[in-house]
Order: sequence, then structure tokens, then C-alpha cells
Amino acid sequence: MHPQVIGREDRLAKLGKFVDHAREAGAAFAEVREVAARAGDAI
Amino acid sequence: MPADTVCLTFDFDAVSPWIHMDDGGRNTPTNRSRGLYGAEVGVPNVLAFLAERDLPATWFTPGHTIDSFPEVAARVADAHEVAHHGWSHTPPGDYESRAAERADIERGIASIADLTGSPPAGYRSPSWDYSEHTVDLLLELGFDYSSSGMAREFEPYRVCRDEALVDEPYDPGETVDLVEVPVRGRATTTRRWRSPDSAATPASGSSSTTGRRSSTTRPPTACSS
Repeated sequence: MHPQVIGREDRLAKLGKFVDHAREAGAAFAEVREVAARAGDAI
Repeated sequence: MPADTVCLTFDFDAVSPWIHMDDGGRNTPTNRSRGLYGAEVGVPNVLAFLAERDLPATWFTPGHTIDSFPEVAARVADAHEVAHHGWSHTPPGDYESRAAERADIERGIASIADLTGSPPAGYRSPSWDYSEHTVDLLLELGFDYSSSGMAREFEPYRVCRDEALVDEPYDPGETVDLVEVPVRGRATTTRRWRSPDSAATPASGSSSTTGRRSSTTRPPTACSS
């Protein structure tokens, strides 16, 4: 996502809906380096 | 850790793409103003959004952005991962030489190290693509992961040095010690994502950028092991 696009109020409102949906589905949020480190041990 | 993990990533490009891409053909005041909006309005808005929801994120940031907007870059670094996105946001295939590509990557590493106190773990190509040198340079310069390829939906995999000769079957080649955390183009953006309560059709498909090189041997791309 690019801040000049997603940083606008209407786009952030949509991102908020996505975040709420992901959390309700039980997903976690993490930085990419954390995911990459975890994957590096498994692949 | 739950089975499903979401990585929110932001390409904090600011004005760099307009200056450094397409031979400067889009380096105009209004294009640069879009980058200024991103740096001076968009990023603070996103940071507030993330803080309100206690969300981690990764910001792929050109060194040019860090050096041009140090205060807002510092705000990003205080709360989130800052990863590499070139110093100059130049598509890897556009460098005149391996040395030029390496110099730009090293300059970007220095900008991030000055900002955060440590070199970046991750890299995202400014064009979601690699030159024939990029993978080796990332390995030489100590990167742990890249987030540029698209060989899987969401599962990380290892980058390989493939061969793509136009007159021979594709050879995936050897895998290397570099994790690819795939991107999915526009399908991951909120422009195409539809919330469950929306009547719109869910997004499908994805998009990618294409290189501008003309060669019988294409640059190595990410593939699965």
C-alpha cells in the first residue's frame, strides 16, 4: 500500500474493515521480518 | 501464533518514484506533490491508524525518502520495521551495471542503518522484479528476505536462481538462502478487497509489473523449492 493512496480517510476506513474482519477470523498481525524468520526455519 | 498471519506493508516512496523512474519522464511538480502528500499527510494518517489499533507493519522505504523526510521517517522507525526499497527507487533492470545496482542498495542500507541503528533484514524491489544481479547482491549484502515475487498466494518460499532461456524448457535452478514473502499486487489492496458485508464481487486475479529489458535470457525470478 502506498501512503499517498491508503493515507486518505476513505481508504483507511476500508482498511479498518479489513483489519476488523481479519481479527474476527482469528488472524494475527506481524511484521514481515517476523514471518520471514519463522518461515526460514520451516522451509 | 495463529495459523493465519497478516502482514500490513507500506511502500513509503514519497517523491522518489517520480524522480528516479522512467528516466525522469514523470518528474513533474504535480507528481511530486502526490509524493509530498504521502510523506506529510498520508504517513501520519497511517501511523495514527496503526497506533489506534495496535498494529505492527513493515515500511519498505527508499533511502531517498529517509534522507528527504527524516522526521517522518523517524516516526515510522520508532514504531515499525523499516525495510529496503532501493535508495533511489530505481527498477533493478534499469541499472547500467551490477556495480551501479550494488552501490544504490548499499546507499539504501546506510540510510536505514543511520535511521534505525541496524541494517535492514528485508528488501522489496521498486518494480517487484529483479535484475540478473539482484539475488546475488541481496545475499552478499546480508538480507534475510525479499518481498517482491509472486510464486505463491501467501506462503513464504525460497528464492532460486532460475534459467529462462526462450528456446529451452524453464529450469527453476537452485534455491538460495533468501526467503521470499510473496506479494500479490493489486488484489491485496483495499481498492479491490471487499468486506463481507459488501454486495460487490470479491476481488480476483492479480497484477504485476513487467521488466523493460529486451533479452533472450530473462533475469532470475523467485520460485519455489
